[in-house]
Amino acid sequence: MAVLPAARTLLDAAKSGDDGAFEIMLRPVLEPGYRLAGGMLQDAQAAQDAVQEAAFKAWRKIRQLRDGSEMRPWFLGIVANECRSFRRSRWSSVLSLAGPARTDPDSADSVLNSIELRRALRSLDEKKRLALVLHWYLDLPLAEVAAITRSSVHAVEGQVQRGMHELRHRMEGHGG
Amino acid sequence: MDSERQLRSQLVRSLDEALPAAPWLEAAVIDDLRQRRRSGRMDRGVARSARRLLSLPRPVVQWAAVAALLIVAIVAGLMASGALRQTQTAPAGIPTASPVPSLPQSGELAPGTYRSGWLTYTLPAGWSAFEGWGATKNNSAPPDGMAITPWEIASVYPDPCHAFTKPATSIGPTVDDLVAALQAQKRSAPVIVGDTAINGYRGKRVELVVPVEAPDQCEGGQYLSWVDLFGGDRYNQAPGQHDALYILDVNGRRLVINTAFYAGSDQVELKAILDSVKIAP
Repeated sequence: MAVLPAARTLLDAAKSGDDGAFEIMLRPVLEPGYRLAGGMLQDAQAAQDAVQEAAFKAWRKIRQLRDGSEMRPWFLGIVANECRSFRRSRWSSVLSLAGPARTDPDSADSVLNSIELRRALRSLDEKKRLALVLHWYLDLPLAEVAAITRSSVHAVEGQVQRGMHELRHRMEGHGG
Repeated sequence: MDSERQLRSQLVRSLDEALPAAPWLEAAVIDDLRQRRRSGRMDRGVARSARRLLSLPRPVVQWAAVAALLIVAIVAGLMASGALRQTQTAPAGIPTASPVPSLPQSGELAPGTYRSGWLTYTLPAGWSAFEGWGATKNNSAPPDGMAITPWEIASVYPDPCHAFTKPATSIGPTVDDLVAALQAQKRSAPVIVGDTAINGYRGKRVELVVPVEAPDQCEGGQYLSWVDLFGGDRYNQAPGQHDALYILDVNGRRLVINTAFYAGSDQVELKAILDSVKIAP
């Protein structure tokens, strides 16, 4: 995970209070942040709120980003924390992601399968859900998932495998 | 391996299908960040309402602005032509009704009367709005938080701690149907049921308690009690949280007022709010 000199310079500038430099670093990680929060919370509005809050926290904590570390895993770690606190504080929810799909599904069965799959994902404990969303949905390598979740590659691999087995088991239970 | 690949692509498709694209997000987040940096405000309530507005899709904001300008222009035109002048003067001595304000999306509420859908109530100081739908005190969190929300419940989870493997089941339309479903839920604490009447409407009061292991040791870390007509789940937040449901028959329609509280909550204050309730379906 080598950091290019240009990125290093940008980080130095951001750390010394250059807000423009911080924004340049932030822009490319917002979309993965939104996808991460969307996968974890399954609520588009909540995902947007989580990313906004994470961006603000990242700006306040930019000096804590160690030299040689990359912005994306660091920011996604903040987003994951936001999702965690959001889930703990919320006490009601309209499951907006359970609504109609944007694409035209082949059949009613595939719509039901999609809904059941999202529901099955929601039912996983947080560590497995986070590992699956990061590795499968965001397509991040295991090493980066490990950096985000502050665990080992081996542990992440285990979470992904166990999460996958639970998902499959629950989908089979629903006939999916 | 093939089945792993298949499950993975199904999951990606499933999340992609449901998560709306947000091409405006980058601009909205950066705008919000700049605004918050400038203002230096750390007041979460204020910042949150600002974020809500900013997080509207750009086209929505633009159309809302255009619509607002059009309305202003039309009203100004009518005023100028005299069409609205008659409505400006009310006969002396006749009181004009002041409409009850709807709950705002978020933020602290001034003491007063607010409307949330069919439910109107009067709140003292210290309460906040939650998503334009509920009112909460101390974030409805232990040890003394409280909340009041209107519901129309469509289905009930048979086991709130295992809400993902034991899905909610639909219930009949009457007050008794809902009471029976709640009584049949798997809960460690007894369900207390009694008669009630609010604003002249009769029904049942059902009190539920969240057990000590919930929600952390439940499936997905969630303790889910019921689902409303629009698919919204009732999440319970902490062990020891009480849900008192006032399940009313309002001209044949089953409406539910949910008050949430803890052992340390101010019951007198909550009762005063309930006493102020007006129902207008």
